[in-house]
Amino acid sequence: MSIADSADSALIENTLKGDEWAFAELVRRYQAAVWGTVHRTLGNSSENEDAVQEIFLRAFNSLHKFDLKYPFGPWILRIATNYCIDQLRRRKSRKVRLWSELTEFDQERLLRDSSQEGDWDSRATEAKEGYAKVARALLDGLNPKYRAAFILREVEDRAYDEVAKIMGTSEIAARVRVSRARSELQKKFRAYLSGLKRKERSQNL
Amino acid sequence: MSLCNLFDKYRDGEMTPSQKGEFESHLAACTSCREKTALLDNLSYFVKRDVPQTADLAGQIASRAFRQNRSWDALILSWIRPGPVLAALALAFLFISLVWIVPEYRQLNILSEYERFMDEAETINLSTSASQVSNDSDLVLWLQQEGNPQ
Repeated sequence: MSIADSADSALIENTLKGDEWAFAELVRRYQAAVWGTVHRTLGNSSENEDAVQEIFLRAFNSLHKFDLKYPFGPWILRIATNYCIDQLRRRKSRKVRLWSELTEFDQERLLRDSSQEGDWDSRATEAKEGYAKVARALLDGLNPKYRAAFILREVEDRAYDEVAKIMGTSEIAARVRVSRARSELQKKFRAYLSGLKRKERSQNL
Repeated sequence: MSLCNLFDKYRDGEMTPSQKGEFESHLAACTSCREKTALLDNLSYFVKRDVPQTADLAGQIASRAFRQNRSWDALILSWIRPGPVLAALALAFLFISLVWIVPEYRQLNILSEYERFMDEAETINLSTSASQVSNDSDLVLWLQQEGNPQ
């Protein structure tokens, strides 16, 4: 067991004995990781702070079931990921909200740019906001489980065994989810592009 | 097999140097794999950089956790583990079986025993006087006196 893990164990044991400070410390250690997962999976929402609170409250209420033999990090991230997947399922109807917030001109320009290789960071600041919206819109269209797996692997750079632990699944299933997410993103992106090309052709006629 | 199928292996950095070299030559010629790489790089970049700083919620969360008013049923549910619940259900089933099913079985046995006595009595009655047995208690008495023919 690592030093961090044994420190976590002590904090958990003290929390279970009723020490509020110990739980606050435990939250402090993991709030950035949970916040990151929530924000990347659910998108920029005013509800994210409530989501983080809810995740830690769920963890608190199940803390007596936590096995101290295992590290706390994957366990809390598993609660966070499951929470996010539930939330995404609930808001299915809002799938393309971010995409539709863009003007038609922006949609067209951003889709063209997002297929180009190169350093996006060097592009204009006002365009970056739009690119982030495109990225979010494409992710919004993914199945919640594929999306969570994609975020853990591609964005948070986690190894597949960790992705599997966090998602409560096998490593093979985690690989399949990430692979499908990658392919679906490309498919959706192409669908947007071909839609735009059709529109362009009809305008030119 | 098309090299496009090895995209995930390349993306996850799980190729040997020679496989990697081969795939990179493929990448230079394959528009689809190049487009996919660029798209995924850009998506990851924007989602990564899109995370704002979080406020320190630790004190607030801990205070809420220790002050939450949990209903008694939520409290009980939070302590329930599937293993012990299943064991308890199995024990309850076993107990109910012992209390209800076994006595019923015994009762069934008594009834079949009684029916057997009746059959035997009927058979014997063919050769004895019918007046000896007029009701059930007489039958039992008669069987006791005469002895069980088996």
